[in-house]
Amino acid sequence: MSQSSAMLPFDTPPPGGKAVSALTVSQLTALIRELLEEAFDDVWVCGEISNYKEHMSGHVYFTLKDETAQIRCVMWRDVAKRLRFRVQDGLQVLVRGRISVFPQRGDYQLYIREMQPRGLGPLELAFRQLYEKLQKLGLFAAERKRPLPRVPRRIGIITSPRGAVIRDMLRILRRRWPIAEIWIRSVTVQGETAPEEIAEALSWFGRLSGIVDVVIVARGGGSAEDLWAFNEERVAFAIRACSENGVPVISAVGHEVDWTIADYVADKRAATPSEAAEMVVPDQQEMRQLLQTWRRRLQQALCNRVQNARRHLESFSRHPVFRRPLQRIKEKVQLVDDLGSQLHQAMQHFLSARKQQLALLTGRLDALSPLQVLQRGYSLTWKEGEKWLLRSSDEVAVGDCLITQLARGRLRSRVESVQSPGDAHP
Amino acid sequence: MTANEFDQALTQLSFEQALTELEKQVDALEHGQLSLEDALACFERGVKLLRRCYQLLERAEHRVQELVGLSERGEAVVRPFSLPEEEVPSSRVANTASATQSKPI
Repeated sequence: MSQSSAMLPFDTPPPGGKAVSALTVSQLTALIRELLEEAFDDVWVCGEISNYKEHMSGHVYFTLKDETAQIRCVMWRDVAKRLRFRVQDGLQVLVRGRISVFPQRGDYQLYIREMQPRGLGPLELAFRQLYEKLQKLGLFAAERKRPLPRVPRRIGIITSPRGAVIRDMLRILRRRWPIAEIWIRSVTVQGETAPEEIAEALSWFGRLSGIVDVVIVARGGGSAEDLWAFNEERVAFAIRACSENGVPVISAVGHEVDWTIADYVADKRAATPSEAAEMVVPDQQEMRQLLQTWRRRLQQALCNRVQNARRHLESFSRHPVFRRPLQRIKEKVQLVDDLGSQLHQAMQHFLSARKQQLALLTGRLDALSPLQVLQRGYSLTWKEGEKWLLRSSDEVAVGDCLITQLARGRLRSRVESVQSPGDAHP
Repeated sequence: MTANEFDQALTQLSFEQALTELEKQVDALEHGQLSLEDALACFERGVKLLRRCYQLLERAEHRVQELVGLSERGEAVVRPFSLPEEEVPSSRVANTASATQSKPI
């Protein structure tokens, strides 16, 4: 690289004179770039945006101008993506960046690292800064929002005891849902100590989880400065902590148009304190109507069930079995009677048959009785000391003693002689 | 749960709990395939829950307390709240909260 004195034209001898090494375009451009970058490393510039163009790549190109001058600007994609507002031609902005040179075109450009809409005060800037920080931490995430209780038993209110706000809220709460008990924590809602007082009250209510069901942080309308406590980081973290302890928080700060950090962090944002009082409880008249409706539905449902059962029963009762139940029973009784008399007859028959049989058998038995035979003149004879009746003369010898049984009485006799069975009858 | 146990539990129910339970009974009776006996029991529970809800509605007294702080054991210390003198438009709010001394709960 040449010495800087070599660049000065009045030191340069005319062409054809003493030989001096000339700069290439690139070298010169590099020198210019070095100078500019060093001198304008971090500058704030205000102006109007024109020729705004966003490339497919996400990088943004535009010209910043005023009445008499303009400067080309580049904003890389990562910077452009971070902007919370929409950039368009005609917008007055305040940008911060560095100057550099684009060698291929010989242009100097402003490379932007930050952009704000013009007219923003330090509060807005702080708001924006905190907003971005908390959003990065995920404090606004929808999935972290805790649902409000449907019917709170006890409601905490953090607000100033003075002014219309608390009065309006109590009036609405008494009208809509006097069942809920209200616990008020009086705090200063603006000024030096306000953030600390509000954060402390939130931590108390957070520790009363299970006793207090929901908390409203409220403040009436006011200037941005008045509402500032609700844009403080410690209040935002206190709201989140209270909710995470199980007590959901409703923020109700200022009017409809006022959005504070507290509104973003809270589980629910009410546009005004009165709206918070409206949303936190059901309306007792509506509740009575709902209960009436349910009472009717209960009755109707039971009626339907009973009707249903009755129809079921009726469809059964149309069956012949159930239509004349007594007849069926009578039929059964008759059957039993029939069977009974049949049984009786059968028994009779059986018995008389048996009787006859018995008489017959008795007769036969009589006929077979040896006594009967003896009556007719027969006798029974056996050897004395033996048990069996004599049937042949072979069974006795002369001199044996015989016993003879007659129909009446016995004889004892001795054998005189024996005739063998083959011999003629005596 | 027997009918007796149910009656016991009933007296402890908050409005929201009673309401949620009532909703269940209505739903069961309307859409459940209940036996006649169960349907009657369901209806009976529903009526009791309704009664509990009405009871709570009628008992309303709109108590307003001021949270003074937390005790060492972490219990709330409260006292009756009254609006600053110059701002009381009607005496009703002040009246409901005038009786008791500050007390831990």
